[in-house]
Amino acid sequence: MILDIENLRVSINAKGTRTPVLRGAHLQLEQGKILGLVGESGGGKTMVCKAILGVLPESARIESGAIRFEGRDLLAMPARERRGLLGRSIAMILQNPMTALNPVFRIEDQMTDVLRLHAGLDRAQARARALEMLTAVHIREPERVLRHYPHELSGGMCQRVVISIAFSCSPRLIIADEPTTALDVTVQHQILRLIRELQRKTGTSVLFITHDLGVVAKICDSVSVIYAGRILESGPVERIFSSQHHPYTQALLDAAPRYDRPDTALHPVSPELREQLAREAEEFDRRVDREVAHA
Amino acid sequence: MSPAFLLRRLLLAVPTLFGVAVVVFVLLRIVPGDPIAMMVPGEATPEDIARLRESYGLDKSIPMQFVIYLDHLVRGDFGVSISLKQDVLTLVLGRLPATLELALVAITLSVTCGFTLALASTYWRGTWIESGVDAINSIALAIPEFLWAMLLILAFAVLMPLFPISGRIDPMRATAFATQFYLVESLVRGQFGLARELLGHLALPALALALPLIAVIARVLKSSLQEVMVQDYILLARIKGFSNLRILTREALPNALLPTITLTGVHFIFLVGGTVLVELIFAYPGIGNMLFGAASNRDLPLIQGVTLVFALLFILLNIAIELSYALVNPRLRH
Repeated sequence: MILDIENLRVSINAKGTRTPVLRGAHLQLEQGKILGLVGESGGGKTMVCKAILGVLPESARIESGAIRFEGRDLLAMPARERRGLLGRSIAMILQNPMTALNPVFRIEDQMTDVLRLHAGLDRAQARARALEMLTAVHIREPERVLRHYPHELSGGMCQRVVISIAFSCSPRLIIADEPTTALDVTVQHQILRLIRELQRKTGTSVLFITHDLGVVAKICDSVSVIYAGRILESGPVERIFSSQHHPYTQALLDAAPRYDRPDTALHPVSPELREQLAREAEEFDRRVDREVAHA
Repeated sequence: MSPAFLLRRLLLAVPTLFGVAVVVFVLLRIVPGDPIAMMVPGEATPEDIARLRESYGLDKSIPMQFVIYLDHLVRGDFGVSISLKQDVLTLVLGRLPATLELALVAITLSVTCGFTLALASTYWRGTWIESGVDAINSIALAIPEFLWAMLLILAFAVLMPLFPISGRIDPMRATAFATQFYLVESLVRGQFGLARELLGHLALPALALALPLIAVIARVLKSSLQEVMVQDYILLARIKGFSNLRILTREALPNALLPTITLTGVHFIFLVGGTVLVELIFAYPGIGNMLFGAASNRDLPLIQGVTLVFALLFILLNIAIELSYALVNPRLRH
């Protein structure tokens, strides 16, 4: 188990009101696998990845739980040591490649800085490694791309660069937060294939965050469904797709276009189901409040 | 930035300067006040006054006067000062270095302090340091430079006599210089004792000019830093494992520079304008001080000369600011 999140509760405290955003989330990612975390916007997907990376907004508070990376609880770790893991052992692919790169630096500087920091390479070695990585993400003329600024590249190219940065220090865990959402459909396919290919080659574990069940079916080994800060269902991809246990998972499937069944109509998640899930979430909050009061 | 762009900007300066020359020339001649009346003794006869008026060309019509003025101007002749009886260009060029040195020290001080305050208050966001910097900023911004000049004199020359309050240097030592750039010259020659004395004289006037600008720079840089700090690429830098200090100074600062440079440029121009009053208060021998003298004496050629030099300075500054954009923003280089 490379990543084991247990009963993670996070709330946002703003203007005196406390809003729970993660209600006791559980997640388990096995070594060398890709775990899809699926849910709608606002469901808590991004909060999970920010909590793992320790970059939660200032107003967020972790109320309880543990985030174990290779058996060690990140939340109990000294800040300095935790930061030492970032870039080296844990890396991330951001959603929007056009804003993920610093506009005032050349690609070369943005690829080599992390290599020089973590891998202890000198300028020439880091440059050689950057070229190697750009070739690995199938960028033609990597020499030329290194000299470019981000605004001179297309979105797909930028995402390849971001992916190559994430993989460059051979991390053991990569968190991909909707890495294809901002790209157009043909590029999406290429990027998914690329992530899968690099993941197989390096054996890195990937936590893949998405709202798209089609993407999950294509690249994930297992999947967890999140709604209103709760994990509703987890399991291997085949099981989730063949026999859904939770009505919300079924609703999500009905809401997504299916290439294999082009004639079926799309259904949005029904208001009744949403209401039911919201009631469950409130019930959960009340139970937590009682427990807290009791303790 | 292409040479063609530079050339075009420099050519555009010509009509601007012409406009300034027209406005100043006409304004000076339609406002009340007579330079001849200021210079003649009470017992002068009307004939004496008429003769003087004629010798300065003031008896001709305003358009005629302007044509003559312009004709001399294009040949590099700025005229002769009425009150000081010397060539205007020589006078202005003799005083300009003192003002430039004052402005340069003031802007260096503003940028150093402004950047430090902005970076510190972003780094220690949400702590007492941020609130402290905000408070200092509001005070520095609320008080204009001439009032700062008075307050600084009270504090650091009267209550605590740490700094001299008048002039540029002890007049006995001023003879040792070959140029008018005393500070630059003493630094180049390695005469650090002399440089320290010059800086001592510069300290209070430069600080008076710098304080409002420090506040402006700190405020603008801080707000653009805060905008930049929530960008994705800062998040990526954090995830790469860089320290907060490195993220702030290396990743965020270059992105936050653009609005700060624009505003610093504009306010630097105000600062140069502000030298007029500050030089007067500190009896600092720059062109600002000379402009005041010229205005009180209704010395038309001198006022015209100083104003044109100020206008030229502003234009050159603006071009320099535009050139600096391309340096900090690669997207503007094409």
